[in-house]
Amino acid sequence: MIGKTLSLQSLSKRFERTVAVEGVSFDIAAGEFVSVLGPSGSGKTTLLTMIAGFEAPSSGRISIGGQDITGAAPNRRNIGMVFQKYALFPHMTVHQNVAFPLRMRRVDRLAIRDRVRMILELVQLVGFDHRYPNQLSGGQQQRVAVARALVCEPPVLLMDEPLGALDKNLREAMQLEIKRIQSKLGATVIYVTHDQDEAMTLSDRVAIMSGGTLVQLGAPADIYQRPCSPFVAQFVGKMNFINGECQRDEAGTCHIRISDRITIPAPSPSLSGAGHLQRGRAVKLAVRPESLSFAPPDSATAIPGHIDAEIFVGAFRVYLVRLATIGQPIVQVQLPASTSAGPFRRGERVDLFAFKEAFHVFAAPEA
Amino acid sequence: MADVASRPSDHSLGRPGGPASRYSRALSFSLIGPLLLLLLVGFLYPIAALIKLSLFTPALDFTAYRKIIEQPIYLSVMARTFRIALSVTIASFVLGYPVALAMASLKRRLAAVATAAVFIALWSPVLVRSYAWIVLLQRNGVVNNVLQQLGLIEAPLKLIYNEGAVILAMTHVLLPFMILPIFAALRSIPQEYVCAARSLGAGATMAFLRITLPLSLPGIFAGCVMCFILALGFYITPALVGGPGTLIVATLIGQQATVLLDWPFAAALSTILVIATLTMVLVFRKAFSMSKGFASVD
Repeated sequence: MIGKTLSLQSLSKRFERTVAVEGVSFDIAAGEFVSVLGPSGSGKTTLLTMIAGFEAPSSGRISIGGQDITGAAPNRRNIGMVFQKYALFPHMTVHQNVAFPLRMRRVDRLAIRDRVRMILELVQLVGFDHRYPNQLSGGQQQRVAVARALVCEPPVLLMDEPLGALDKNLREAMQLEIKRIQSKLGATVIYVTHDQDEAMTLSDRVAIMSGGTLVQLGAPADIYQRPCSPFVAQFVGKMNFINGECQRDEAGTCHIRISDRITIPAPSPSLSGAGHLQRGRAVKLAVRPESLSFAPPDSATAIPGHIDAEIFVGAFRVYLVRLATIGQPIVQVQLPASTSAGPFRRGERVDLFAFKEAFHVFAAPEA
Repeated sequence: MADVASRPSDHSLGRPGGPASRYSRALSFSLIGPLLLLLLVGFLYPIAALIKLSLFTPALDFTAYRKIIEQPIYLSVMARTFRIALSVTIASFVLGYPVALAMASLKRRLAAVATAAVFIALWSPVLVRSYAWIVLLQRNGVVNNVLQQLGLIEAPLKLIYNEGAVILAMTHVLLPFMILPIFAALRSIPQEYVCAARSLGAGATMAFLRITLPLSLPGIFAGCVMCFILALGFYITPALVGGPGTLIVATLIGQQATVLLDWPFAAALSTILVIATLTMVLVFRKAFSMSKGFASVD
């Protein structure tokens, strides 16, 4: 295993007027694959450039394998990096590109030949040694970039949206390829992307960034099932939001009133975030489209609404339903295509149901 | 020269399916037609006439060329011309590359200031710049006065009307022609390449030597060829700041054509200059020939 631990301690980067990254801390285990996911401008690329050493952090510390590298020059960090557009040197052949980091480390000629051959075997590009980057397809260029970044067995590999330039099918093939190479070498990888499916597919853990801060860090399933904020909830997967208000009964248990007549018992506070909501506080009730259904499970409250549209998406159907609750939000209901429900007429009245565990409660922003 | 100018943009022309392929052949020809016509009438025809003039007076006769080869003075003028052109090119490169590098790496506003400085030098007339050197370098000029007042020298130095002064003044005039193509080449190198080299273990110097310098070769090529060729045919500056010992081909041609009215001889000298120029372009091109991958800087 070539990977080592990476630790970021309250890392910040401020430019003259803007804050690009603010107080980001996390630890990554050796050999772990962590995706940094966020919309553009969330500071994820700045974070990467600080780890690579192209930008000095305004404050905070970075260490690899327990060793502080905050002030080290980029060429003294031994970090592998795959750039968004690969940044293969156009005046060098595949062999020269991959051998470049070895030559910079004064590895002797024979050893270079062996190691380049080994890494090109790993990325399945044997026989392409003497081609120039412009004679390769996008996928092949991508493999060369990965090979070049890995040939010195870096303790940490950084990847900045490496599949952004590829078409969809190739992307999916390359995702598996990257995962295969990473687990074979036991590389510690930080993978920056704005594609949530990619992050989910590849990662051991996903770090969600927004506005320069780390919003949530956890396993993909964890983040999907227990988002810590409305932002994360709708950024990862699809999420319906229903407006409501917190009410507490004599025992102090929270119920969410979503219309004059309907209240929904709040799910267990520790899971849903309903723990410290005050009485009368406006909340958002969040539920995933696939958690809603037209058939009542036991002891679930019916939420009335009207069918607005029905969309066929291959493996499943999506129904848009306008709820008869506060603000009349439109929610999506996602059912398997083989479902027995429907067909519905437009405007038809329906009742929606969900297990109470499927709901998340977020405090609505104060007006 | 047309060949030289097209070189730095090779990478954009070489890409298949580029913007040019959208035009039909007829349209392409009509677009370049006027220039082609101008070159034909204003450039190729006079050169052909020149060559004819040097060879037929009126029957085929090599007297003019024999004169150049047989009289050592003319060969030494040739040699001096090439020596000065080469010195000017080397001096321009040594002085110009760092300037281009600084311009390319500066922040936007500072880069604009630096570019403006280079352009202003380019826009001021050659005559003015040459006279400025006379003011600076002459016997009672600024440099001699300052040195004398500082007590560094007793008597004025002979700074002007020699080969050094010619090289200095010509370098000053031709520097922008070196800086601008190199700057353009450096500007087109994505910052990512240098970042990649650094992260792969190259120090700042290594990254420059292995990445930036080789990728700026087309600009260096264009700059050197332009400087060298312009220097070969330079007339005003050497005539003003040079002395009797610094006679170069262009001045010689001028004398022969306008003072001595020996047109066949002037034509022969010109023909040799044209051939020498073309040869130099080919030699430079060979010397700077790059790997195939180069055409693909993206």
